[in-house]
Amino acid sequence: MSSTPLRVGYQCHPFRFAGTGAEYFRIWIVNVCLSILTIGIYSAWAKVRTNRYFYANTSVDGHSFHYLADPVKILRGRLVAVALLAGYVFSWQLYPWAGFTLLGIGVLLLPAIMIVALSFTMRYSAYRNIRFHFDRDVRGLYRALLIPLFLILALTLAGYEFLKSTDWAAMMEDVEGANFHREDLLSSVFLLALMPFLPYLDYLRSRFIVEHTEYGSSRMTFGARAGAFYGIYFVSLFLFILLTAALTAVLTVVMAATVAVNSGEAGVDGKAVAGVLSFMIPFMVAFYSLMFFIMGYMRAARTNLILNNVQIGRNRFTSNLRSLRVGWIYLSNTVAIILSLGMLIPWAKVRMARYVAACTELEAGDVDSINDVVRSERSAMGDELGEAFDLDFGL
Amino acid sequence: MRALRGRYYDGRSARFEDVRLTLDEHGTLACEPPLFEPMPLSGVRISSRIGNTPRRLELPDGSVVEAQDHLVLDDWVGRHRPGLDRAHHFESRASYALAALLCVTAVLVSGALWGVPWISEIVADAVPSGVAGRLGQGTLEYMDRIAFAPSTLEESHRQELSRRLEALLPADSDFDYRIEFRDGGFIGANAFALPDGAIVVTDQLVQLAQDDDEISAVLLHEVGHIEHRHALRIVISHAGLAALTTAIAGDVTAAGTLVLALPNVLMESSYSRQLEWEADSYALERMPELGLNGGKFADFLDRLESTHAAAAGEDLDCGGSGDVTAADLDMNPGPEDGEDVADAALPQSADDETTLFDEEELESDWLSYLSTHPPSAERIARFRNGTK
Repeated sequence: MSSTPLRVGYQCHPFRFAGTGAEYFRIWIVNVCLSILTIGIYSAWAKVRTNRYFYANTSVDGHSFHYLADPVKILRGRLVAVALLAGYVFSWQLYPWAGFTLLGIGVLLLPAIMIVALSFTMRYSAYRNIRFHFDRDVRGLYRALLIPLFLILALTLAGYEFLKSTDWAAMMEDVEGANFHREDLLSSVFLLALMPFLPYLDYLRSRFIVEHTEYGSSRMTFGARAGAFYGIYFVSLFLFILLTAALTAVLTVVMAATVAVNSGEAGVDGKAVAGVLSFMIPFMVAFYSLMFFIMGYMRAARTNLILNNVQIGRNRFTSNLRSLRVGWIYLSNTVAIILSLGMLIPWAKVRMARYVAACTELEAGDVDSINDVVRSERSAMGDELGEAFDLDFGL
Repeated sequence: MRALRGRYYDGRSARFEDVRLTLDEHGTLACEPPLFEPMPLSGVRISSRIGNTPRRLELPDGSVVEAQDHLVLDDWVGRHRPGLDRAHHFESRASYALAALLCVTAVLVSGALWGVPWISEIVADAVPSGVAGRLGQGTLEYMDRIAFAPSTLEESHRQELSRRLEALLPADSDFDYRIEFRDGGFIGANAFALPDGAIVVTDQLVQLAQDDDEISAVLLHEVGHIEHRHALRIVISHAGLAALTTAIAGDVTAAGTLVLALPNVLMESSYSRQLEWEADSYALERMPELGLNGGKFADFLDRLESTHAAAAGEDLDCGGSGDVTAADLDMNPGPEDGEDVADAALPQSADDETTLFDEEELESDWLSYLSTHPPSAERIARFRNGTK
């Protein structure tokens, strides 16, 4: 999280975000209104205008970013997505097995969908009239995922076989009778087996995205290690456990005290229950408020880790997001949005964008390190090929 | 004629050059220094204005001039590209923002209260009954696991009640009607309609009834739920509202979704009242032809109401926890819906029902939107008057 010192000979260009909440509110509310009145069709145009507003208000070294996507293509992608989703929802309702099959197919296709969507966004993002590009290396991604997925499945099966054979499973069956199905354990064991791999999968995903992104003809490189991701996830988990344990302890004491004070000889009465319930609400509020700070840590640490390890040609980035500040913005934004019945959503988005930009810098190797970037000749052809898959699912 | 200051990017490299563009009275664009030949502005693609962000003038050869001098740009666009900045026109004035805000609020509230339920009724009626009935499969099994126990009712009584149901059924119905008898457990006295025609009746409800005519009236109410395909309508409404809110939310963040759950709550609470009302109407309409007495059903509702209220008062320990669970099922239908129509059958979640009634009797029409069922007093009066 600490700022990396500027290297000798490097020029530092801070990112700037120039949008304002009041200006974006007017754009946002018109977008929302037209999207409703056109039964969602305008939402594709709304998305383009929103992205254009946020891109073009973001600048580094005095040059703005630009979002150049064609709303018609986004609309096409959305129609496909809505059709798939509707089919999926109804197949769940009518034929659970069909829904399950579709879910399986969807999960298997998820990496490919991510690539298609990312490639779309990158291709229509430009800086200094040079576009970004994303290498659609679908095969490479599945190959990278193969071993971790195999390990997760193996671990799941092993854990399941082990649990099944223990006395504990037999005991559960005795106690719960027909209500206990051993098969139900499978999904829980799967989630447990997935947990230790989450930071690694996040690392794989981040590395894949960075290393397949090109600005003009220069490709980005990624210097972060998987261990750093594990560190962030461990700290987050630790903070979460700490928070839960502390609040549970306090709550237990408070509940015991309330019940002891209010219950007479007749046992627990209504007053005691009411007392406990009235304590529950502030506790839930405290829990969720502190959760925002854990989320803030996660977001800040992850973004800093990833951005500080991206190198493109002779240029690199620095990101100095501060956990407490991000947590505070999350919390206060949420409260503001709820109290304003959603009217402050634009203000909240602008506020976050401004903070993130203020914490990000581009370190240019030398004056010409950006100037020398040239358009990629190869990517132009790749884009033609990709037109058929030009879908944006709004990921 | 004022010049436009901007930056020229050739599109082949990331280099740029500061330029001044001028436009003569014939609409010809010239560049200083002359990085491109003078050309008609009509051959240049200009990006529409958004906020105060820089705009792009895209030349045919792929090079671009970026400029932010909106005074000059607006003037050029106004004269040579009328209509290009229509969106910006709406997006830049407070009056349009206010109009849009009012419009969004009106659409959301009326959509949640009337629009989505109305459309879902049309769609639900178009779905074949075989498909509609498949909806609640697994619901009963699920309820058996979490709440019910096998019924302890006498076999002869069960057969008698099943015969009564047969007598109630509409002649041309496609649903496979039957009664499922269960011990209600913490749910207590209640009846549920499942979408395929199964009506769950708890032992406690049968015991609460003074005679079988009262149970017939309850069954008739449940038949109303099934005949009107309420389960399907709720599923469709949820999908419809989700589509509506997604269209609005677009790319809104997590905090936004919280706010967008509001119309959902609004719809659900008023909607389940409306469905109760409809099932009551169905029962009221058919009671005379079947020789049933609405007043007796009113008495029964009355008794059910007071039993639950009494239970809530006396026995907070177990009654309280049970009611919370029941209310949960009531308010938040899971993916395997059905159970919430089913469950909405009669006011059973006494704890939170009675509190809502109390507030309601004090004042406020608004609060009535937050109660899940029509106030029982109102329902009871309806059946009394219907017979008088």
